[in-house]
Amino acid sequence: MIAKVNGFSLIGLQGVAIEVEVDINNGLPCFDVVGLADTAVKESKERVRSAIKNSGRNIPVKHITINLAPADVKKEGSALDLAIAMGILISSGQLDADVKDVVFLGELSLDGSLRRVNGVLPILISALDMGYKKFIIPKANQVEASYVDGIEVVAVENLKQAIDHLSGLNLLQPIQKHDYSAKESKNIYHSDLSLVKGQAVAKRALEVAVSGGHNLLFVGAPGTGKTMLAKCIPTIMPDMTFCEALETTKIHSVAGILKDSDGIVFNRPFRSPHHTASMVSLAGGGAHVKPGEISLAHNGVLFLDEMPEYTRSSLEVLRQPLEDGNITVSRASGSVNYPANFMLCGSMNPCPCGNYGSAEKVCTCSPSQIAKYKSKISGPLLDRIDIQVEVDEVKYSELTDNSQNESSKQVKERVNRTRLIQKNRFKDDGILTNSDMGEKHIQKYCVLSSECEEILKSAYESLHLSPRARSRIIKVARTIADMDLYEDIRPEHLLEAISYRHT
Amino acid sequence: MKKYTKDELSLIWIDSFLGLEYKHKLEIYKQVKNSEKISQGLALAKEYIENNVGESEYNTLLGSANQNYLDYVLTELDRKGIEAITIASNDYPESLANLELKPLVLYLKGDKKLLSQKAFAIVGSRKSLPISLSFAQNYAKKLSSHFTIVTGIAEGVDSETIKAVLENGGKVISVVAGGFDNIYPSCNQGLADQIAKNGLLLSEYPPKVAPKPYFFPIRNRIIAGLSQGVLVVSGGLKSGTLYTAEYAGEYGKDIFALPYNVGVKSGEGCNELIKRGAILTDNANDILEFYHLEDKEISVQLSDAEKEIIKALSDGQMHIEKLSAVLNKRTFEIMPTLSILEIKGVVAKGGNVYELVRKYSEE
Repeated sequence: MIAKVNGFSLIGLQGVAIEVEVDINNGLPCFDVVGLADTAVKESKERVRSAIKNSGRNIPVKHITINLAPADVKKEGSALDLAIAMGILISSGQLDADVKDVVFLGELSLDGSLRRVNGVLPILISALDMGYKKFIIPKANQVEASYVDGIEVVAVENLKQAIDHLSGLNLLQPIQKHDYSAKESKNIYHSDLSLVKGQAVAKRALEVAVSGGHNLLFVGAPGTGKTMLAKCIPTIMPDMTFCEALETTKIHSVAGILKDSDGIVFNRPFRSPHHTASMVSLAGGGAHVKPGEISLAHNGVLFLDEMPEYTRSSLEVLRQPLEDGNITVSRASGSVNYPANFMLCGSMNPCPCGNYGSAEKVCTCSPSQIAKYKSKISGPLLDRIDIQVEVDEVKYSELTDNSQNESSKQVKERVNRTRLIQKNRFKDDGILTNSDMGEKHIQKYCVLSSECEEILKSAYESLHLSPRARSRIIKVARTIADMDLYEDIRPEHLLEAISYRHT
Repeated sequence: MKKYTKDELSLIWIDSFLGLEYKHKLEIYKQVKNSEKISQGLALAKEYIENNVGESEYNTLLGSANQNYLDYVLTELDRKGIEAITIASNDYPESLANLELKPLVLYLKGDKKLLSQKAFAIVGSRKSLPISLSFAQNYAKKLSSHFTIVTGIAEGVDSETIKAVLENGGKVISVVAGGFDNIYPSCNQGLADQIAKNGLLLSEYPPKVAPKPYFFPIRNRIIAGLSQGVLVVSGGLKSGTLYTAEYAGEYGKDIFALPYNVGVKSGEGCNELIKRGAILTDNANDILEFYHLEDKEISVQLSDAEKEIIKALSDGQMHIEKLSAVLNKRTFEIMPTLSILEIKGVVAKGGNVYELVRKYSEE
């Protein structure tokens, strides 16, 4: 008897329905898997064999053929184990159940228990779109599945539970649906702005950057707190909406870095790849195309510490995603689009030895060394960084600004307010933040008074600003005006924005 | 094309032979000067050249002693926009005329009138502390309103000085070691072009000569010679800038030097100069006062908030956080005012440290 069971595989973030067909014939005992399966799928037959045996059922000593349809789609990973095992049980008459509208996901262990698989969330969402409503998945994946609305998911611990559930011997209840609430999020980042002493300028720049979604570059000597400041960014970013959380969770689920206990990514991700990171690890790719760091930082922060130390090619990779908010990774095996809408935060020293501009320490670098160091971040990339701020050592005696002990929570409230203003302003423009504005939007929303034009003109001349700096300054000024709840950009907003220019 | 006199042409001709020593050039010139044609004069100097320079050199000179060769040299100069002034010229700068080894020919690009103006030299080592560089800029800005600034074109103090002067709309003479085709360091070629446009580029070498290490100390005699005084911003004990000071001392010019902490390598030369009698300076006003000059004030309109900041900064540079504590305002509240002061050119920003760079007066 032929059994047909539903399984799913992933291409990028998209689930693909796989029909597992099992046929058991007389003939020499053997176990064949056909249908463009990769190694992990081919090896599943050994796991399935042991798991069925150790669950109190047996593998028929017959010719077993398994076809994974459609046959021209490459199947990856071990999520099809459960579907294959079910197919064999049904085909051999050991289980009598109607499974044509049930989707099975899960990797089998030799003792019959089910292990977690990657990418359950994106699969459930895709499957729901295709009309599937019932799912049997490993217990380890249940939290992540509980956030999808309108489906019936049964989480099982082992193959035997699944068999008993389907045959009606021991019916399991579908898992409870969780409602997403950002309030549930625990702050997993143990940083808080109130812990950063001094650095009023940098903190303010941080707030401006996050409020307007601007990319940010910290310049400062080693040990001045650049990393500490950067780590505060996720703590003051607005809470993720369910949509955002779901998108980020999808990517983390596919990459296999999702925590079982959380199920969904509550906190905006903060990714800080080391500067030895390769181009592929940043952008995504590999033999089985995986999302890279920039996609893992989707809706969060990508922090590049010691930015000039990254290879040129890995930095240049960031340019297109910074513009488009996603990246298309093309390989011979196919091309995959991953979202990559992140805030870029970089840090660098002022020179190779780190002491340039310091009043106390001696810089040992030659002017050409410094120029070379700075030129490692290309112009096009710098153009996408709206705010540059110097972080310097603050002497103990100068740590007197007592108004600066605001906690991240307080700042976050203001950020939320500023973001809301932008959201309302751009509701018809398809963008979210001031940093996304193009020339067209700047002309529409950043009308400068003649006084502001005058300031910009004289700044342009006396501070030698490049034409590109102009639009960056206006965008940042727009954000500062929003923070101050002003409809129009006022001179002081423009002037503050000028102080965040590249030097 | 500029018309040169016969004597000038002879000098340009003789100077175009790179292998000849200074004294031989001078000797040959004396012979050529008294003759109708270069070739005739050369014949008179034949014995001298063969004895002191070499036979083959004589033949080379003879082969080039014709109008074709001279035309070629002149067209090259003209094509590159270079003017030559020789010791036989009327406009040879007085300040150099009395030097022992005065350059036979000066190659100029730019405004040659600067040669007759009051000049002051700012020199320093290529490897200087950032603070020294900012001092160089500050001095250059202030002094350039009264003097034509003379310097080299190396990285470090030289380039910073030139940039500051040009930014300030002042005039600068840059004395280059080597010909104009071989600006060293080559990364300053752009700067050299700017100087040619807004100042004067000067060399004692024909355009094609590549710089050699020993050119630099010799070149420094021109810097010292052109200037009324020399400021040594930085320099180690073996630094080339000390040669400039040495020459300046020899020529009886005023020498100023910045003092340095004990143990700062790039300042040991300056301290040495001070020990030997150079004038210690840590402020451009010292030099202005020395020459009885007034610091030119810029007049700008200032708001109350701006005046408040200027008052707070009048004791020297200050970190923005300290400034905010002094003024009892949040940092981002004073940042706009600081920016506008920066635009007005009253305040300069280095990282998060601000300082007053110009005197100001109210309109």
